[in-house]
Amino acid sequence: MATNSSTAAFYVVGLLLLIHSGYSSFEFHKLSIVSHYHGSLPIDIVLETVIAIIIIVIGAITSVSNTPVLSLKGEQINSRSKFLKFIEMKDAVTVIESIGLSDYEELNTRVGFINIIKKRREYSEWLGQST
Amino acid sequence: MITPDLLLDPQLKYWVLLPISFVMVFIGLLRSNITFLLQAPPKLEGFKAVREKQFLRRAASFKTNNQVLTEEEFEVRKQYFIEKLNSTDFYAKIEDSNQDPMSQLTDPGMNDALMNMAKGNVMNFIPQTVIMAWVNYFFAGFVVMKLPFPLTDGFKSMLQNGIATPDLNVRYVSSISWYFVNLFGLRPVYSLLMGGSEADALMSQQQQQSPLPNIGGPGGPKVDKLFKAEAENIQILSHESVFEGIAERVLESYGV
Amino acid sequence: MARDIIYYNPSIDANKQKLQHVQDIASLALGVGAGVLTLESAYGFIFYFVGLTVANFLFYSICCENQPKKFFVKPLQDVYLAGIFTNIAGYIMMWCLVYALVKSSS
Repeated sequence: MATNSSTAAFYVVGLLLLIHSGYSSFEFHKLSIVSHYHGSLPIDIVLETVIAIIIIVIGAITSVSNTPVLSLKGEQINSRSKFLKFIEMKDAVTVIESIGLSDYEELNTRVGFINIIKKRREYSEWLGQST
Repeated sequence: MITPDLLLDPQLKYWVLLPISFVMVFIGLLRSNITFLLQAPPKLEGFKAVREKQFLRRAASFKTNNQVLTEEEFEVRKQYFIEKLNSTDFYAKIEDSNQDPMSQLTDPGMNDALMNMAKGNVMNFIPQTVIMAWVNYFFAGFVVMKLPFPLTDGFKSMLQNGIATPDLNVRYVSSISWYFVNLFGLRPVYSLLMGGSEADALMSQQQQQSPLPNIGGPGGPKVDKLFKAEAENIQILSHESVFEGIAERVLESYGV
Repeated sequence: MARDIIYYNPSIDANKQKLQHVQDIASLALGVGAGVLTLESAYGFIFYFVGLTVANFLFYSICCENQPKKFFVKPLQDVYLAGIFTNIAGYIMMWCLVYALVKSSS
């Protein structure tokens, strides 16, 4: 999963709130036993907990956003969708094609089928050109 | 509630609940690493076995993708596949039908498959039994925690194992029940710790071939059955080109 | 002439994993929350179902960008129903743990 700074910020804030509300709740239960108080949890602890959970869930949602891919030409390419990936074939392949690769790349560039003699000739011609 | 609250030493939480959780998480991590190390590298198959599988896969992809062919090409390929699937040309080995079933058990390939299965099972069971024995031995005989939800009395014998108080509320449970709660509940923790769902997505991209039935493997279907079934499927295929009615579809999809 | 939509399976899996990741974190956080609030019995389970549905709703409305059909084969079922019972075990674990830690009887 992509961890970016906003995700980390959401997680840190959410966890701090959750720990704080947990500690408050812990203290409240201790005190209520000592002072024989029989009431429900104060509303601010409840609110703090609910807000903390919502912040953590939002952090989790931001963490699943798509990361840009690096194309063969060194450009960063962003997907058209921000979070999820398209499941229809016609949409899904556009990103992969924009990199300059395909899913069947290993079939197109099989090492066993490379014509080494031709490659060598090309290379030596190139060497002769450049000097 | 009729029964007053049982007084539980707060130290129990720090010295029983948390240690059990930590041990289970770490043993889970260790186990996943050890299974990775124990995995035997995949063995090379004989070329005939590979050819047999590949041919079946080719027939299957012909079945799904035949709409890109023209009528003529389709007919030629259909004839070819039906003929080859019904002959024995692509079988890895031709078996006589009245072969002794016991002789299969001495097949070396079969032994390997069984060995791998046994290894996987051992790696699953041993750590769990060890932890369970450890929990039972170390933390036996006292109430550890109060569950936040009531259970029926049927759970009493399992969850209050080793506590000699017959009338205790089932919500007070011993350490073994915390072990069980952990056993079922740790999956999200593992998936967060080991993560790599993005990596998994990448992995699944590389191996997106559909899983084939392991032909000739232990318990797998027989080759001739699979080939015959595939031949019948291809026999009933009717051809419909992808270009049929393409003008209407393009006009429709662009809303003209 | 209606043709079947051809799906790209790696994308389907990737989307399901992302949803699963969100649900993992949501169920753990909800478990901690339920423990902090010291909810008991039925209230705890109601809290879980409501909370996870809210989390799923956030996911559905933020991530699907108003076109859920583009990302899930059966959007409503996949997002709202599929994970609700498989994730309850993690919730119960955190609930029990934090409940035991927070609630002191002495």
